[in-house]
Amino acid sequence: MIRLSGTIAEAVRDLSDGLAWGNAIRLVNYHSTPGFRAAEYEAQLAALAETHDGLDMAGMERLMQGEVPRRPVVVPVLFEGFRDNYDVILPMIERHGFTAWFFVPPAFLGIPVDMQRAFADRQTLTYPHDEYPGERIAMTWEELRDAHARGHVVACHSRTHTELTPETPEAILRDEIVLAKQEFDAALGAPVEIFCFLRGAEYGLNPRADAMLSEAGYRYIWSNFRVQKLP
Amino acid sequence: MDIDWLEAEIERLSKLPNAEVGVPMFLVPEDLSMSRPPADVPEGGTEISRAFDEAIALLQARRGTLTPRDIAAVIEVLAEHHLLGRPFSSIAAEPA
Repeated sequence: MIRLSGTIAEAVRDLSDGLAWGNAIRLVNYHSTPGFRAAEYEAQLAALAETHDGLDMAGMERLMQGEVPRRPVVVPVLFEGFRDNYDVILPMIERHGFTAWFFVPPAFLGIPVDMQRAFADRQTLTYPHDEYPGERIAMTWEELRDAHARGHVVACHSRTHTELTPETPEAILRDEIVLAKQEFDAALGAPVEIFCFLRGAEYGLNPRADAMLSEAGYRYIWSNFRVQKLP
Repeated sequence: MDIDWLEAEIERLSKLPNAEVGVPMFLVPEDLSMSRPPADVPEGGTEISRAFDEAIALLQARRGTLTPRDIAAVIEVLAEHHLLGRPFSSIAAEPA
């Protein structure tokens, strides 16, 4: 369920204005990217590359400042941290000159291989069950570090792919926001600056979580309709 | 834009296996840090903003009250048709 911090009318007006400025971010959301769809991803990325440039963090900051890019920019977003993101679609994204944006629940990467499917099922991480039989389905930390070192963006999608609400206990909030960032920052050797709530909640819906995000050092919330630079 | 076409597109896109296909969307940048003054909205908007306004008006006229899910569905339809010169999901049907 999508939740907004204001009314429907306010959201419609803000979105209309935002689209009118011409600096809206175009993205393509991917989750699992199984090999049997590789030709489809390749065709999509090739078509996008004809008319779009990629976007990195510096580029997003320029959009935030109101810059309208010479050519449209597009962000391939890879949700959940699946192994097939690294194996299948990342080489294509690089070949076509785009920057991949990985939105990962870091706990998934640390789950033992024989428990990853049970974790994914419990945490609503949807994947094709006939892919990688008997093997891991999550990326490894080494793979994520490698992608990050090659210039791709890593963002936090909560620690365990858990929905955070105003009623979520403090200790769980802290694990999902603060501990997650500490794990990312230590593993990547660089700060992760973007947080995306499960279900794409935006700033203002969960004041305790918002305060914790700022305190932890996140700079942006990536939500269903907006990318918000935190106050 | 025709409301029946819009509703049919919303229905069609809702049936795609989103867990494993690419789903185009638009996101609007919003600076809550107030590090710059808000920009003036350009008169006349853009092709996409005009299409958004039209689609929202049509859907509101048809359904009465809109939900956040309706707004998301409108943006999905716009992105599906505006990112490329053809429907994004149609690329899946092309021979490799």
